[in-house]
Amino acid sequence: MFELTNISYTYVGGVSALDDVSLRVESGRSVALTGANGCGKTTLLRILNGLIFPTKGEYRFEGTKIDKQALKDAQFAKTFHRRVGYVFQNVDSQLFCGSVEDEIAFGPRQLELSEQECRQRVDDCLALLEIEHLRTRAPYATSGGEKRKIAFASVLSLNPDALVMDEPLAGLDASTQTLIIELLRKLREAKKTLIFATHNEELVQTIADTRVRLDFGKVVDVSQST
Amino acid sequence: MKDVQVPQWLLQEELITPPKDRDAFIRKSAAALTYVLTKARRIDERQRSRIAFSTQIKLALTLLFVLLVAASRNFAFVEIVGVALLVLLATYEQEKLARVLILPIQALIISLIILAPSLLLGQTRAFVVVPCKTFLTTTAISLLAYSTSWNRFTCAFKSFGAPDAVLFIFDLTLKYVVVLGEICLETLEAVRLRSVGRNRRKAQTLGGIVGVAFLRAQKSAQEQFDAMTCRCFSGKYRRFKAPMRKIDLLGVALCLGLLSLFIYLEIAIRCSN
Repeated sequence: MFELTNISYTYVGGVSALDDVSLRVESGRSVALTGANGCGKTTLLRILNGLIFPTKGEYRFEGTKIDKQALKDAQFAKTFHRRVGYVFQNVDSQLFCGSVEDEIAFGPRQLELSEQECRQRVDDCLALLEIEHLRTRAPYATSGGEKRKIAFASVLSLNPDALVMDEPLAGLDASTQTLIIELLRKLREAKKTLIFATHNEELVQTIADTRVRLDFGKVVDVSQST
Repeated sequence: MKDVQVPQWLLQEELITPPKDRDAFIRKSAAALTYVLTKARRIDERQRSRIAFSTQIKLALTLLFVLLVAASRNFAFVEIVGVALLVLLATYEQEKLARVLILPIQALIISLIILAPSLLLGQTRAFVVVPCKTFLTTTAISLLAYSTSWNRFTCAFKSFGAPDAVLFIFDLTLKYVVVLGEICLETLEAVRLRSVGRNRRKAQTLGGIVGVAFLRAQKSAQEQFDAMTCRCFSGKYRRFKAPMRKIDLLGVALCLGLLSLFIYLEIAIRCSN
């Protein structure tokens, strides 16, 4: 599904974030990216989502090269973004609607699903993340953990084939962490592709088929879970 | 272990062809913002400038330069300081020079366009003098902005007696220009990622982005103030007394020289009239 070949990424000012990284993620697999702060995990996830493009090397999604040119085609870009959902590390920036309900319905409405189906998806996502009580609240007026749940719900309502997550458990209490881990386990069983950056060992042990360890922008270890 | 009931639609693969829509505004806005932020981040390199005067001297020299160029009635003054400024610019590398000159050139073009009708009325002098003055003053300000970091500006304004409230607002604004830009960019990216079809509420979405940026700006400013308070900030900026260096004496001499030249040439033009 995802194929990165010898990619490197250098930020403005010459700071190298990724150096000659190659990675192949098959459909239905779950991959954990681990490593110290600043090792390039977020940069890698942003490349996978087509938010930035490698300065060297090649990135292919289901055989199609993902670059500026490919994403200029609006239809292709929309299909790509629908199929690859992204939960940001900083969920504050991910929420921009007036109410939680609108936030979750944003994607399904764009796909022009019927209003009944949109409502169904909103109800299901609210129940799934246990945030029914937040339905009419403004996302910015919720707590950090609640915002993360809303961000999850707003991405899941699009039913993406792959879910890319940056620190999915950051800022969540123990009970919510258990909820998210269980949800991801179910999604993995449903053959969704999961790629996430994390420092949470429990999440890696429970969900990941493969652990990719990064250090100073390089892949230093790839291990399969037993 | 919690029992999570995942809805059936989420467990199935969907084949949806996204409806067509005109949403280039998101892509273009994100690209424009990225460009501005990249430029703003590059400004960190400005410390390695050729102008080694202290910020107070640079600020005083620039303000005096702008004031005298604007007030000058003798075009010889404009020509002399123009040549001096061009000599200074000539010491800059090509890339840095382009960054300094981009705004003055834009200002020059705009002033030429605005003054074009004066040519029809036979006012050729105004057509030459005003754009020249515009170019010189904006270049001086651009040079000052390029060669000075924001925190030094705050110190310099304090030594000129600016009130603390003004300095605090100025300080926070400068700090958050880049931070707010990054918030807007991240939110635009989030919109782009979830713009998977036809958005019938574009204005509402755009309003949401602006709203998020505003609320986070307010929150960030409050948090910044709280953090400063926790670190013993009482709302007063201390006057920074930097020791006068030899190079600063040269700056003071330049200020005096500029003023003397202005007075001499103004008297000269009066006598000739």
